[in-house]
Amino acid sequence: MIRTYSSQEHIEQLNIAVKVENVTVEYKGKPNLFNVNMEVPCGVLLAVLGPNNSGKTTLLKTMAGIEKPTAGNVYIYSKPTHAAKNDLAYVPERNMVNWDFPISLFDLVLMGSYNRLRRVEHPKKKDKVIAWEALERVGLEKLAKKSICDLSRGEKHRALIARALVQDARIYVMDDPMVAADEESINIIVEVLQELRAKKKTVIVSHHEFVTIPRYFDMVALLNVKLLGMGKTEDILTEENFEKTYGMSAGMIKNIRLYMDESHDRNK
Amino acid sequence: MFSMEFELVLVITLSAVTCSIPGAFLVMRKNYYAADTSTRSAMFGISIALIFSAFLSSPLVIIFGSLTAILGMFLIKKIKGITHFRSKGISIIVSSTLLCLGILIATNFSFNKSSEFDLSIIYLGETAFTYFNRVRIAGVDIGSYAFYSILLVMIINIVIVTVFYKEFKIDGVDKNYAASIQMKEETIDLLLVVMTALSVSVSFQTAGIFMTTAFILGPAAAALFYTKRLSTLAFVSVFISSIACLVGFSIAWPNYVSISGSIVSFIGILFILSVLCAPEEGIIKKYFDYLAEQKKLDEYIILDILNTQSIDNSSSSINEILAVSLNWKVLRVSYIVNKLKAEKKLEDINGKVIITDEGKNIVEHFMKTQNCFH
Amino acid sequence: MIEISDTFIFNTMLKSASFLGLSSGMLGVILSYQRRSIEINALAAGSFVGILVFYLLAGVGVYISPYIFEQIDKYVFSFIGSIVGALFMIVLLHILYKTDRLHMHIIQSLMTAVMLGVGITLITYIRHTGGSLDSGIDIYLFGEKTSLTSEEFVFLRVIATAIVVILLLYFSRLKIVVFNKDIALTTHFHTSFYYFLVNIMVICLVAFSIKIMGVFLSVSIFLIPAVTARLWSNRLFIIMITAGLIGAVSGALGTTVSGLLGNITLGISITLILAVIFIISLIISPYKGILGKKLYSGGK
Repeated sequence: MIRTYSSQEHIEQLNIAVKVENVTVEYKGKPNLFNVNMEVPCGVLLAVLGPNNSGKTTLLKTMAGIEKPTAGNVYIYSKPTHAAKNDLAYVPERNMVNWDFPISLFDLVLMGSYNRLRRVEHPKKKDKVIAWEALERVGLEKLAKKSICDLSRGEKHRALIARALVQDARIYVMDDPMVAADEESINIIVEVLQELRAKKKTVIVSHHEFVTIPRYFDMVALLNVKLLGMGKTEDILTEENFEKTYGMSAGMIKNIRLYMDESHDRNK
Repeated sequence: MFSMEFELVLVITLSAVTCSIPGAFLVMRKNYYAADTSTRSAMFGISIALIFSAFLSSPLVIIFGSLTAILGMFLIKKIKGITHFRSKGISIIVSSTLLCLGILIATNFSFNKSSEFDLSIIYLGETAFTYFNRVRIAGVDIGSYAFYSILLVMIINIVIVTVFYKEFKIDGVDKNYAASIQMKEETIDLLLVVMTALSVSVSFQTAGIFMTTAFILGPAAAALFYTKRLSTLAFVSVFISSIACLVGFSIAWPNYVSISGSIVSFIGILFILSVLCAPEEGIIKKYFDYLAEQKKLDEYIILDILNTQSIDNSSSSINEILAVSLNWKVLRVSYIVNKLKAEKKLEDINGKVIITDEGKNIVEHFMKTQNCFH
Repeated sequence: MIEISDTFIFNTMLKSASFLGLSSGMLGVILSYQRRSIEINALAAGSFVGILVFYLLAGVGVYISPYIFEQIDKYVFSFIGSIVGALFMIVLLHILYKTDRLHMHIIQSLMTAVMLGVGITLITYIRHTGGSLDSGIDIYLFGEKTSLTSEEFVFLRVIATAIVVILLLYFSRLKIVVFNKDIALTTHFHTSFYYFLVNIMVICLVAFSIKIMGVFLSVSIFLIPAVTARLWSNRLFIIMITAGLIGAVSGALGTTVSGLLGNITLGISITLILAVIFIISLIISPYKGILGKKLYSGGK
């Protein structure tokens, strides 16, 4: 068989963490994603933007190997998803988690260590230490004994991220980790994201508020069923691209531009 | 007055229709546990009433049965308010407790021990027994007692539905709108529970308290696969329940098997058949629709790749290349490519596969329909 | 009182009810968090029909080849029938769930009633054609004190112990699978294996519980301990152990009460005991109880 289109050496040379190749995912005959091609380099913070029902969650789930694509391939460090155990940690959307479930916050965070354990093994002291460190990292160590239903929205986000941190993967895929969270939680989450980037980890985040993007992320992917553009934040956030994705007026883009400039000045 | 068969069919059809009226609204409102709970908790009231009278269609039975059914729903709401658990779990606790208490009372105290009835008539029902309680006015036999009590409840149900039809409709369609015009959800809930409880406590004598659940939910659930409008839903479910009664009775009567049992079985068969093979909403139809849509989607995928991406498109190797990059079998790709070539959406020029203008138009039109803002 | 507790049947039923209560209470916790506790009702009704169908089949078998089929005990048929019926029901329900027009609880409660209707039709047919069921219909509906043979009792003990052991062994993984399927999948579990495991355990237990508890009340021994235990704790492991203990205690108490009073069937007495435990917990439990909340906050 001739393999010119997807040679594995090629991927490794370019240092690509996640390669999505011609992925189509359909639900009841309607495409949620249509022929998406993207390559995420190592060590970047990537934001996936798009309106509701644009397939953000589906894309992230396909990357994590939760949903099988109808067509196309996903390579995690040039391996197919099912072979890439321990390489990827997934943070589900907050609403998709059953928060009435009777476990403590520490139990939830400890769940991240289970992919290192064998089938009937219970977590050991070493795993508990790691879980405790992750809890301290997101600033929830005081609530460790609390039941997860008592947490606030921002704390729930942080708890899910702590669980992923315990997994100690090379790629983190997070589904809307900042939606409707309080200021403190957002700050902590952003800090964690920056730290992960410093450690050369790849982080892929789906995001709702496009206003705050330039502060946080290196790269942006615009998604509306099809991938409409991907690249450096400054290059992608143009009026034309936003109209393509959201179908919104140019006036809002100007505001975003203003905000971008302001944040640039602040950074300097 | 009439032959026995005719009266029995009349009574059981009436009771099925009576039950299916609140059922049509229950299914739409996702108030699903009301049917189960009210049937089971009605047992408690029925058995208490039977201490005082050994007569299954006496008004006491109807009143007590509906009161305990409402009591059951009320208890569920109260316990839910205390514990914040899901109401389905609580409904099981409440309804099985009331059911057990009811059976306990019925086995030990009811019927004054002088009655010739088997106890299982309460929970399994026996349509033929309803024939023997006759109403006599001035010595003239004008029909069975059960017939009149069921007719009364049916009239009550129809009156409630016609008076509150607008509220039911608004509540079923749009909860937020209903809240914005300050319509109380509790009133609708209470009305539905009252309707269900009345129907249960009057039709348990024909079908038994357990099988009335099927009378309530079955026709409406089957009708949901044929219509989307609320008013037609009620009519279709009434129609389905009367058909089921006629067929079930005509199977059961000559074979000496339980009438209500065979009617309920027939409702079940109708339900399963309509879930599987309903003309528009059935699983099988949906599955074939899905297959057709998927075939189209497959074509679009290949057209889009050839349209937008620069790949090695020499006709000798294109099948393999596409198969690898799409993670499909080569056979599937070559089948679709050949089909597209035959439909003149792709063409072969100088040993290269190229998309034609027609194909381009088609795939661009498809892309436009997919993006919701264009 | 002493006379009753010495009899062999009473001892057997006491033990089997407590074993059943222990294992089904623990399994019920898992089921209630999978939101499919109502499915038990439908499964029980399905296995009720399965028993009757296999009874009819046994009659046909004896007619075809008396030599082979008369050797087999009728309890074997009823046991196989109950398992096959529950299996059939679980498959049918999962086919019906595929439709998106109806909520799955409606399908479950409707199929329960329908299966009961089929069962009643079959019973009246068997009675009319002259076959004799081993006893009245009440056995199937509300449970019976003497319904288990000694072989079945041994079998129940083995299965109940096995289920308890499996639940404890796989506890930590089952916890994740029940908590969130996505997390379980990205931790690279075989989620379908655990679903399959739970389904197998449910089918085995339902087949026994309809003999002890009856068709309508078999759901109560799965669900009520789980809900009651939730009132007492916030930790899944403690909830599971508590639910098992509540199930076992109420099974034992229920058998005793039913043995003492005589005219109560086993299912009814166990359910009533469970309900009493639930009401007591509702009042005095420290987290959510009416009195308990006041005491708890007053102590602070």
